Amino acid sequence: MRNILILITLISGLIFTSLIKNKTRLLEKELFYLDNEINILSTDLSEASLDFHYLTTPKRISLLAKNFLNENFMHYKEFQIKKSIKSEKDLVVLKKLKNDNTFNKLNTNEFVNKNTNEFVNKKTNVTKSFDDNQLLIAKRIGNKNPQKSKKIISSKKAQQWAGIQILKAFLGIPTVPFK
Amino acid sequence: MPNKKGKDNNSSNHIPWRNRGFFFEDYETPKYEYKQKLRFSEVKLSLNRISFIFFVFLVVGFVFGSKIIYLASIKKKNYFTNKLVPSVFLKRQDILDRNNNLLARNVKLYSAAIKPRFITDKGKLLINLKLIFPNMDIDRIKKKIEIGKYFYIKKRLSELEWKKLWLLGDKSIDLNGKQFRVYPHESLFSHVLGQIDDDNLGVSGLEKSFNKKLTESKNPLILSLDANLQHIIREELISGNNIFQTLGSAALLMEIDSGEILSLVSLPDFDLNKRTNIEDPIYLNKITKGVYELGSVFKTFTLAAGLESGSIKANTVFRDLKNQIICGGMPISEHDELPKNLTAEEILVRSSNIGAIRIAQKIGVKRYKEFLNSLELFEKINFDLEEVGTPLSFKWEKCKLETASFGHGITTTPLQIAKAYAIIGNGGHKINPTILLKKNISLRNEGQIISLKTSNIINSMLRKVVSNKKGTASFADKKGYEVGGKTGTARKVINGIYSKEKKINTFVSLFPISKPKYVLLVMLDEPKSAPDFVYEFSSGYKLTGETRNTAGWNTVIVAGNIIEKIGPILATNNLQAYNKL
Repeated sequence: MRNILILITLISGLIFTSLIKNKTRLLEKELFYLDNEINILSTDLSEASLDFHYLTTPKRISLLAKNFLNENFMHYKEFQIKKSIKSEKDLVVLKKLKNDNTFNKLNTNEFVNKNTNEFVNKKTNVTKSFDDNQLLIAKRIGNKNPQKSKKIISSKKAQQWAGIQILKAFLGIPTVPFK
Repeated sequence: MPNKKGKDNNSSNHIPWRNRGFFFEDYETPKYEYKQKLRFSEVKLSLNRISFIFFVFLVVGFVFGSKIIYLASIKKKNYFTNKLVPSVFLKRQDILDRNNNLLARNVKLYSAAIKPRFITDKGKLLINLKLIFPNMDIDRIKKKIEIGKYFYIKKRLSELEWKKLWLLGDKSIDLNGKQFRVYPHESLFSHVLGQIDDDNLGVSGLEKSFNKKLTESKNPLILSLDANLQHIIREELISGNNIFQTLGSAALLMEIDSGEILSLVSLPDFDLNKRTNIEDPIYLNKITKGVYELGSVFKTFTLAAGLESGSIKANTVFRDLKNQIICGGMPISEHDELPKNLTAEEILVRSSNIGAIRIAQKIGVKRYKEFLNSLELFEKINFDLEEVGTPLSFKWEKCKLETASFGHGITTTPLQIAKAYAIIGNGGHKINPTILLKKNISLRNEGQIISLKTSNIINSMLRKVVSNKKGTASFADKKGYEVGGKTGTARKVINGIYSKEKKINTFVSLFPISKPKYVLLVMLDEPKSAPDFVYEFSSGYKLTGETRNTAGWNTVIVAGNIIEKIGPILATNNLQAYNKL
């Protein structure tokens, strides 16, 4: 009995060892492939970042800006810029407007609500018109395709092809489907 | 007598062994004995074999066992992968700027070499090489092949060149991969980064001084430099070089509280990707290695020494200032006609040489010398780069005090001047210039050299040099940036004689002066007057045909343009400063 137990232990030990060894080997293989992939990816990343850094150097960007940007940036000095409020005259006009309660009117809730409503309405109108246009285009596309497909199905060619196939079947000639 | 076989011969009738004939009996052994012997020898043999096999297995087991123990004991986690997967580990770490822009990186590139022993068809090989490299000197290659030694035909191949050579499938062409250092900014940081040799070892610049860190550390080296600022400053210097036809120029931008250098440009520079031997002294790093007499920028130190020692006040009047004096047989004169009576402040604002001499004389040699020494202007600076100049030694003899007061007869590096200005600007705190990014480190604890009061007075004086109409640096008065600074025009010494035409023009500025944050030093080497250049005054007045060649007419222009461009990037609270004006 004791010998049998020892034998069983030995055999099971052998089996388990081989199983574990096999599993370890597979894991090692997987690790190897993963490491390889990581290495390749890190090399790619390093090269890509190097490309990025080279392409975004200030020197290259300024060159690209010179060649491709249409905007002609002008350098203005402070004294070259005219001020929006030119003189005291304008200020007087503004004061008058203030005294006439024009600004107060502008600030009232009614005015604000009215304007916002108008703005919202305008916005919805714009979106509506935009949606309508989109629908129209969609309809055109939808109308075009069925017409084409109808033409294909109802064409005489298809009918002729079906007739020929039936004839061939009667005569014993092998039919070639979807010629 | 026993015979040879060990048997007793008495039984064979005393016939001597030699005289006896052959008898089978003599060789017969009893059957039982024979069988016993046979059995014994068989067992012995099989036992020997078993023990031998056991020994072999034991040895094999020991070998494998020791290998298993070794594998278990080593620390490397990726033992298997390290052995099998091609390594991508680089020999040198990256160098980044303060915004993590890449300044230097190692990449694997291919070089093409020829192994003359393996050449089968020389003519075909040469034709192929000529097709791939049309500019290659084929005769030189031919000669080298004839010598028969292994040689390189081209290093750092492009991908296309490598592919073409690889597709040739020629055994004699050796395409070996090697790590090379790549600098995406080409020449932008040439004087700072330096170069490496073929073995990936630093030979100059940061590559040399931080060689150990770059090769052993796992983290990249992060610098305090800013690539965008560096580019802008370089562009402005190049533009200044073109306008004023200079021999070279340099600029340094530094934070005055931390000592972190944001930009260090020295022109002419060189492309780091084309590794070459640079021997011409024109290529030296003018900021750190160049040792110059920098002229009137020293007057600021004279004023600071006077204020700090209590010898003068800002409004102390110096009367009867002569236009020229003789010192040690040499005439010292003013650069322009100046009033005879000037206050200490006016002496700095109008850059009076004679006034500076009078202040220095009032301070006295001992105190003046001590003050300059406390700013560490005449000793070799401790800096991150190895390329650091040593100021020329001198003795405080007769007339030295007088000449030193306006920056002549004494030399130092522009880096040390910038450092001294930073100390004066930041409230008198000692700083150490650095090129490495040091996050959250306040360097203000290193000791105070001048008082806050003196610092504030000097700052307000420096502002007047720029903002005052009679100041020498009015072209740098850029609205919104509160620039303050001091100009310096020094004649170059050629063969021991002061040249009249060749000058070193410098402008050191602090901005925004109400609470200084940055020091900018701009230096032009041998600028020429630019009569065609249109000078624009802040009032809108334009001037052409100017032939003066002092710092105020060239270096200040360049510095002003730089501040105007970098100001928005540095975000010096332009609007707030603007509103204060």
